[in-house]
This record gives sequence, C-alpha cells and structure tokens, in this order.
Amino acid sequence: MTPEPDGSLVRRSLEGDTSAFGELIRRHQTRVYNLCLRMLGNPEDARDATQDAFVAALRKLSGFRGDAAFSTWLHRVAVNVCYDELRRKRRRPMLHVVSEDEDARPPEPGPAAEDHADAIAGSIDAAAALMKIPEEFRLTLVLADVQDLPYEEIANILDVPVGTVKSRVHRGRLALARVIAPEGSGEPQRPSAPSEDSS
Amino acid sequence: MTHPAEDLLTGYIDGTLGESDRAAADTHLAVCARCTKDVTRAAGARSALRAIPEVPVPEDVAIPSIAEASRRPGAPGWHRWAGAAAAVAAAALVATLVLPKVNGSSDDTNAGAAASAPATRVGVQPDASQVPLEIRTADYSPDALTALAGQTAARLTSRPQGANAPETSGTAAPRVGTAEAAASATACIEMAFREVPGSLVRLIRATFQGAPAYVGFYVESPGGGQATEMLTVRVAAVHGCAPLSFAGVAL
Repeated sequence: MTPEPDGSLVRRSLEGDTSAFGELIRRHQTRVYNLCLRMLGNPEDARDATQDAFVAALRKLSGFRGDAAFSTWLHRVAVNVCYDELRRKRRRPMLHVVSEDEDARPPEPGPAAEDHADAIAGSIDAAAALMKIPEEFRLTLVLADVQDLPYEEIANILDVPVGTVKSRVHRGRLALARVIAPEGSGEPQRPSAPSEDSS
Repeated sequence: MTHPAEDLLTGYIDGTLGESDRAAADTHLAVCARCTKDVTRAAGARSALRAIPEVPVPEDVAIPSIAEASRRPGAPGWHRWAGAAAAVAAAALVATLVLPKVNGSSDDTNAGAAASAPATRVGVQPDASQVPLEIRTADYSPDALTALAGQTAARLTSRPQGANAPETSGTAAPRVGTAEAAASATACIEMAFREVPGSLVRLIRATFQGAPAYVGFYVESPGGGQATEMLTVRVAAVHGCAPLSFAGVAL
C-alpha cells in the first residue's frame, strides 16, 4: 500500500486530526533527532530540541505552504530550534570569576590543550570533532555528509544558493580534517568562520 | 596558478562532476600539491562523517507535541465512542493479537503464571484521568497479555481468580509513575489507537516482546450488535507510539 503523502497528513493535521500529526512525527523524528544531536552534541539537549521542534512545527503548520517538501520545511524549523538553543547556551553566565588573563582570550577559543593531544593521537571521532568547528560549517556537514541530503534540499533548508552549500561543505570538511588530524606540527588550526562565498 | 573553485572540489570528492569538469580537475590536481592535499583531507573528513551512525530516537520524544495537538480546537475527542466498527478497523490495521474469551478460570490464570508478568495486586479505577501508571519490569509476551487481560477482566467483574494467579501471589506492588507520565502514556496509546472507543481502566508501562511499551486496558460499552461489554488491551510503543498489539476479551 502506498503510504499517505506528507502533504495529505499535513492537511488532515490542520483539520484537527491528531493521529495525522502523529504519523508525521513518526516519519521524521529520527532525522530531526539526529540533526539536533549532531548540532548540539548531547542526547539530552537533542531530545529537548526535537520536542521543541515538533511543538514549533505544530504551531506553525498553518504557515506551511507546500511550496517545499514538508521534510525540508521541518528541517528548517529544527535548524532554527537548534540555533536558538546554541544562542541560549552562549548567553549562559559563567559560573566562575573571569580573570584578566581569561578575559583577554578570544571569545571562541580553539580546542583546549587536552583536545590537542586527543586530536594528535587521532582519538577524536568525527561526531566529537563536529562540535569543534563553527556552527554554520557543522550544520552544512550534518545535512550533507551525515544525513546525506541532496545539496538542492540543503540549499532550500538554509535558504542559500546551491553553490554556497557546496563551498561550505568543502570548507567545513577541511575544518573538520584539521580537528581530526592536525597538519604539520600537530597543532590543530583554528577553522576560520564561514564568510559568504560563491553562489 | 588558478585553483578550482571550492564547490567544484566538493563535486570532485563526491564524484558528481561531469566528465569535462572532472578531467579539468584531474589536470590541475596533477600539478598542484596544495589542492591535492585539500582534496585528500576533505575526502577523509567526508568518509569519517558518513560513518557517524544514526541514533535511535529516545522514548517519549513525540509526547509534548501530541499532547498539544490533542488540546487544539478541532482535534477529535480521544475518548469519544465511535462504535464497534472503529475497533474492528483498528484491529485490522495493527499487528493483531486475538485473545480467547477468558472466563476467569484457574486454567487461564495459570497461563499467566508461566509468563513473565510480575506478581502484584493492582486496583482498577474507572476514571481515565485518574488511572495510575504501573511501571513494571516485565517483558510481556502475547500469552502473558492474554493472562493479564483475563485477570483484569476478572477483577472488573469481581470474579475469583485462581490460586496461582501471578497478580495475587503477594509480591510487592509495582512502582507508580507520576500523573504526568500517566497522561503521556494515555496520550501515546490513544494516538496509536485513534478512533477506537473505550474507557481506560488500567495502564502499565513495561516491555512487549522486548520493546518498551504502554499497555492500556479499556472497557467498551455494548454496541454494534455486541451483547456484552468488552475489555480491550492496546499496546503501543513507548518509542514513537506505534501500535504493537490489540486484543479484546468479553467481560
């Protein structure tokens, strides 16, 4: 039997059919959860973000126009939830007194000393390394290489040209490679923040 | 030297370039150590990323949104009585466990004693909103659920149970979940068995054939030609609220 299309389930959900929205969740929850897990880095945050993403999707469902696939739209909602959570974490107050020396450090330091050792030893796996690269690279790599989404769909999710997606993928892969296997002296290079690139 | 654009190198690594672009990239890479190194490192990162495994979704991840959906205007009432036809349709849709009619005899309860259900006595309350969630360590088989349904049916109709009934052998009562957990469990079962009529009388969280599951016991009023009340047993996966089993016994 052909499964009911997502669009039909969306329509039924909007008519108040709870079970239709439940079916949408069943279909997409694994991808959404894994996206959140790789963006946020721990299962608890990922679970909370997944729940938030589906609640947000439910609330915004009437705004889904159907000009993109539901999965694309849902990914966009989940990406926004992840970014909100990352921003919230950055705003969390430090729990220790910041010394002048610490204050002088760059706001987003590279891998800590012990992480250097791990990287040199080749013991940082790819999932952990993802957490050490800029968020925009991380997101693009999760969508492209972990979730294996087509570049066109990623471009729709991120609302950027396909060429920009491919460019970010290349830069992101190099940034990740520098964390996993540092070049030369073994010192991992700090990946540069993404700038707007080809289109 | 002009180096290939980054998006072109991505296509090269992915193997999606057309023949002419690929040939041009090969020509460049043959003479450019920097790009060759980048391509090698980027390809290695790509392989590492593609090896990251997909992780199963944790339990209950869908519950908040389902609970909200059920409160929205226009959502069908989850407790409405939809007639026997809906139960038949649901039973046809799910992996059906057809329970025999259970009359509360000792033979039936002995069947339960052979199953893995723990031995406890549990009160049954008729109000769905107040049914507690029993948290059990049992891994129910279809046979164990058959026995449990019989025992529950017997209790509902005040029939005596056999001496070997596992629920009356005196071990400690099950842990009881919070009211919120009970509400989540109820929402999960009723999402799995939408449109199936009934009033919840008992709620268990355990495993069913190895999968974390909620087990709900519902009394259905006579209708659709039925001569007697039915006790239906609905099993839904904690993980995703998919229906796992559905059965009915006559009360």
